[in-house]
Amino acid sequence: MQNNTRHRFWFLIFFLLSLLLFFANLWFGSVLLGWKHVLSALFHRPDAGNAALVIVNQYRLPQAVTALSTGIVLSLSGLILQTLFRNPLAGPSVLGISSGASLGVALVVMSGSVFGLQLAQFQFLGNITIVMSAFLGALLVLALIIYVSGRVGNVITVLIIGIMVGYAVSAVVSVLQYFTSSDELHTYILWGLGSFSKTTIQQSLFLLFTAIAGTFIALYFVKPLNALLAGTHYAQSIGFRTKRIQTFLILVTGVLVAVGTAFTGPIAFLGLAVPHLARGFFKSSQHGVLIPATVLMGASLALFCNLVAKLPGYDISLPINSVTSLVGAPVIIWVVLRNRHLKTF
Amino acid sequence: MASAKLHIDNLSNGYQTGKQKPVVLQEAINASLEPGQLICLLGPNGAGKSTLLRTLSGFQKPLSGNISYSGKPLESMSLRALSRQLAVVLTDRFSDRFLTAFEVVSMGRFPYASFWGQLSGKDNKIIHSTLEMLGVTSLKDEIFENLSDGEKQKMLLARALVQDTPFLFLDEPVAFVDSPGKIEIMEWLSFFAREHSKGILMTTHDIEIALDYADYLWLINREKSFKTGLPEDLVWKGAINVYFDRLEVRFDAAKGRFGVSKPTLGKKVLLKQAGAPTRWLKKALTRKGFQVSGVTDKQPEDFYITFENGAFVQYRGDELLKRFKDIEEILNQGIS
Repeated sequence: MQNNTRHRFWFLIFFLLSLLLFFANLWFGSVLLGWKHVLSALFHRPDAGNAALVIVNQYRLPQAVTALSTGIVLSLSGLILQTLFRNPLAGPSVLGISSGASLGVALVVMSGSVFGLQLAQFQFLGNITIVMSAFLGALLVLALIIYVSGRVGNVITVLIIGIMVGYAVSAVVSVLQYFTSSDELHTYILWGLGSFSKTTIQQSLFLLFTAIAGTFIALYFVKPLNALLAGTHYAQSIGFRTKRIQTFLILVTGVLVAVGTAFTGPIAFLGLAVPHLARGFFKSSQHGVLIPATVLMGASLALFCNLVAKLPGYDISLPINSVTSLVGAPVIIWVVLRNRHLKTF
Repeated sequence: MASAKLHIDNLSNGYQTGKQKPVVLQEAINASLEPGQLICLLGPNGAGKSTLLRTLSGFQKPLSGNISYSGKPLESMSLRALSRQLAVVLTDRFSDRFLTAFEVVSMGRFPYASFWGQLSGKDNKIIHSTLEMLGVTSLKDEIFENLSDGEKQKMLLARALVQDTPFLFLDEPVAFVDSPGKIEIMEWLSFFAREHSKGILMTTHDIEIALDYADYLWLINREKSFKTGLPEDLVWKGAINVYFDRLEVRFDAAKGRFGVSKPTLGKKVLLKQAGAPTRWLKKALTRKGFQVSGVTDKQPEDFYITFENGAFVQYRGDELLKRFKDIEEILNQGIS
């Protein structure tokens, strides 16, 4: 088939692009390093020099791996949620999961002022406290969503409840912010801006593992996801246990978003925008094409945004959330303008 | 050998929302659908036609009673096993910017396709011959949502046919389809019932279509019990009227369609039948409230209208009074 050849060609191009962007992420930064030094440091060769070894392996490598993995995890979740909810504006944030993570972080960070507790003072734990609180908060909302979807069985109801939970959680966070000290508020706001640079190499590899596992799980569901394009009744009529499949996939995306958000903070728009870019570019709605496309484009876009955020040549860097929003929002506007009735993808 | 047969035994049709009291629409439905039969399910809006179809398709649990396919109870069948017994055409709408008509039709082969959904040579052959038969091969690479309602319906029919099941259920397959399209779809359905021994059950609001094509009618209504019978028998026995109970609109057993019995203006018009033109004139005059009756030899002095040499003409006895080029002229100028 002609289409298959074309798709494979572009898969290869996007694979090479993400590889290129990955190395660009290792190369560029506030400290200028020659690309030979970068390679030497990456492979721990003796001629690398101590500074390059530390900069590449302890800072830039985990950051690049985190950006790549988070890009995959969020984009894949967006794709699955858009198909499950038959809604082009579904994304990782709509289930309320990232709000749940925010609540977890807000509770822990601001506990000092509000409850007189000093949870965030456990400095020896580093950012582990924040990661764990984000993860627990996300899982809490996820458990609620799973419970609700098990009872009502209507995906649109689940979607609405997810959005409402998001609002309720934001309200609680606002109340916490109102009573909190400025130091703690600062910590929370920094987390909320999102960052790919707060992970250790072990954490970034864990994220990578999550991304790979998520990709394989999504590929396992290619056929039912394609069947769901015609709605649950038609999918059921050709033999799929749609309710079970929907519940399981909501659980999987929930875990993916929870893990991603825990390590990086809420990253806006990537999960929403990348599936649309993949559909628009590959002109297909078949998940056998869209899943690899979303993975490759999600990784590339996240690495690209991280590169932009680093502002090569300057000493400062932009918050990653601003960059992803600046890139993602136009994509969403483009989607809305392309189909004004918003009934289609 | 258990015959391929849908058996409905003492079924209560209705639905239940959450923990609320179940809404029972009909009780004690006993019926069967055999291969080769085309059955139309008729009833007024809200009677529970779609609910019954959904229950029989396994989308919702029956309130009580039993449904069995080829001797196997529905509740003991896996969705996979059911997908080899029954294919459906629903009123559910879906749209997707890139989903092609071929991809929609090929979903009907999913119960047979590989794990990744790849189609075998046999699958492709079945899809292509079905598209060819329905005359929609040229549309297969179009985006499904860009097709017209009639074309979409044909693709959904193709999707159900390639599923290669003994039973086929269709919810309102001819609604939103233009009149020639309706006839085409109904001709295919009766062809597949007859020649491919499919048991077909469809709901419709188009009673004329149902009377023309159905082997049996199933009538449902919220107040009355389920009724089944030959369409012609149900018509002359007056059952259609009983199941579509309206004060003004009645089913005319002579004409075979619904109409309003209007009070007449009392003015009588005599009409001498001369083929289609006078038949339509009669319709127009009746609509305007005239009492139209046929001319007889016993009233040679009366006015009457007929059609000759390409125009309507009015006579009194043998004397030609007026010519009218069309029905509109007759209605505008009035009849003396």
